[in-house]
Amino acid sequence: MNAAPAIEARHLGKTFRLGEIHRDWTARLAGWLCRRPLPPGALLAALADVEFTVAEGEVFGIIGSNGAGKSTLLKILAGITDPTSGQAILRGRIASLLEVGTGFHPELTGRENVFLNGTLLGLRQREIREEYDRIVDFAGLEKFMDTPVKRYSSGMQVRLAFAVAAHLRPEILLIDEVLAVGDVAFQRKCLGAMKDVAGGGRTVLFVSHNMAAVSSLCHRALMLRQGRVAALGPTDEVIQAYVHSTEGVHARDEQGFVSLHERKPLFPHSPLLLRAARLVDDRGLPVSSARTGEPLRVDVRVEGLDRFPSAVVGLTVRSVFDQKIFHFNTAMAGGFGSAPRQARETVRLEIPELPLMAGAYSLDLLVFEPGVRLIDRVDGAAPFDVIETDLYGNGYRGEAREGLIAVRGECSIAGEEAGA
Amino acid sequence: MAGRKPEYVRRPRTGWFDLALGELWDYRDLLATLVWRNLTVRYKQSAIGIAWAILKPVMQMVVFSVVFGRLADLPSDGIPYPVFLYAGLLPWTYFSSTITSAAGSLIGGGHMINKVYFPRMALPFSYLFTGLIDLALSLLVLFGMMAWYRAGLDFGWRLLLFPAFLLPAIAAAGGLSLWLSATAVRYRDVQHLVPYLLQIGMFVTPVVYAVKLLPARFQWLLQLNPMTGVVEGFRWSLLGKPVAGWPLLFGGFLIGLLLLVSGMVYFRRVERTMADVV
Repeated sequence: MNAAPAIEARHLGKTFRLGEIHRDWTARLAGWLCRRPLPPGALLAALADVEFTVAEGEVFGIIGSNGAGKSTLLKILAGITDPTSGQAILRGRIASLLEVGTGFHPELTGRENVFLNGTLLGLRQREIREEYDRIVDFAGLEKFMDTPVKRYSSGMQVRLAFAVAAHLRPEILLIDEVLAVGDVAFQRKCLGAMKDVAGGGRTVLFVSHNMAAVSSLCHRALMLRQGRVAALGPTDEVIQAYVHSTEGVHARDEQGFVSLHERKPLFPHSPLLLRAARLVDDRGLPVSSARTGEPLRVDVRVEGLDRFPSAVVGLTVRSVFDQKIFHFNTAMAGGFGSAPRQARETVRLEIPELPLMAGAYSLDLLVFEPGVRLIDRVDGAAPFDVIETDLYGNGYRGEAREGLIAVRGECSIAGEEAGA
Repeated sequence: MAGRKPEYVRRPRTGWFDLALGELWDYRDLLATLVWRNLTVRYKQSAIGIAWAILKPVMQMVVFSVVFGRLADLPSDGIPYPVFLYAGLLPWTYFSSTITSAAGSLIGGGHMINKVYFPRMALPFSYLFTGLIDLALSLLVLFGMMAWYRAGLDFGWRLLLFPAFLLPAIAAAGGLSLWLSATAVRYRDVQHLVPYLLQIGMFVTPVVYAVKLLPARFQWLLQLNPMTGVVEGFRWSLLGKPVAGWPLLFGGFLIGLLLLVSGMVYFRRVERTMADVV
């Protein structure tokens, strides 16, 4: 099809003025009274020069860390707020789903809220009446439709709200993080419903932190960093770029340690025990990657092991989809023995044969007292790549997309099927 | 095929007179749902429910009749004071309760404004219609009172005209609702101010007294108040009371219209950044 793209953004930008509104007003008055010009207000460019097109029927993902401008972009496209520069053209009937259950009123019954939420999303009452039975069926709440929503559990509210949203029939659907709610079974149902939407020739713009969902739903993706387009292209490539972009954010010292100092405590007043971390090779030199089937060595600078003698230092490796793959800690390795500990120590954790296929991974570090409490944790402390090796001795190159875990095995012809 | 698809352009808005009324019409079902939400929510978990819509102006009428009719003995143009009062109280109650609810409607609906696009005027406007339903119920009481006091029942053809006198009230209430609700998004002070403004408003409208209570040379001042014409028009069409000057009615209508149009223009300006501020 050579139709015009469904979504076309050109030089899209949005600038916010920082500070409280009324300060603005009083400052203006004061400036006027003193005949002094206004101090230039602090401006924040939430989006700058964003350009992309989405073809009709395409499922397009938007990723980026918090504050990268994803939600602002979606709000502009949805018409909720205006850009301050550039423009975007959307061709087709739009429905936006920035939250499930917008407009739900606790005093109204389930049935009444379906109509309120539905008309708010741009449906006609007639359309809702036609779909009503299917909506109730999807939510699985037949018995509760005449009960005020305030007596629903939060899970029930989400189900009802998503049921309404799943029955929208727009040509362009804008979705933000709505899958972060509800139980796992319902999430799967929603993903299924969204796949139907995606397969139905509709254009979908999908903002998410859930890389697995983005990867399985979207054809192409856009990564935002500080309001600008940092990567744009096929989903897998953009996800890889996203994973790598978290690297380099932290500065390394001369010994290759990434500082973990500057962060908020996990809990109010909890100590920041994890100071710095690095990956090293067999000669003890800092590296940013490991190799399939070869050792993974992580050095962690920890403080206060003298104060917490029973503390355990551990690491958790995650995939780009944020799934935990494995965890290893000093207690598993038998502890440190009875050697006296200093206030500052460098702990080395070593896994002799890294069972991971080539790809990008991230690593969380944590300090805890087993069965008592978590003392400190840094998520994504050390992102690293795993590089393929000739694990099987025959030149076969395994990849993370085939499966994350690298296993060895054998094969043989076991003879004719028994009884044949 | 592609030609039939609606096209939406998101760009920095400029200009003053894009009122987007067509869009408001497209969302008429939302408006209807909101009207009905306003009504239902108000009387949920209340024992007598919608009867409050009738009771509230009736109770006010009783109190004012005693204070202003009996104690202060204000003139009522020869009509029994309670009927005279109630006929004025109805449009005034419509006006003031609509504005009170509508002024806070954008703040109350902030969570919606932040998450969905819809013509934001639907929120304050929905209260215009909710108020009309209350008004229709209260009218039943007025007809009952007219029968009881044998006042005004013989003005049949004029009765048909009375909805026309509602128009300036709707226009003025709509205009002020837009002004106040849009301002309240940025300055919450509005919500504190509105009840007092309305209280003053009631006494500069001939609700509890007749226009002729004022010295003739000040009566023109009432003309600036669009509700004067409405109250007078109600009494003329329902009770047959002579009108204290027709310019009063048309002047009020013009001012109501002016409020409405200026309110819409202003509202559309504020709408651009509403979601960032509310």
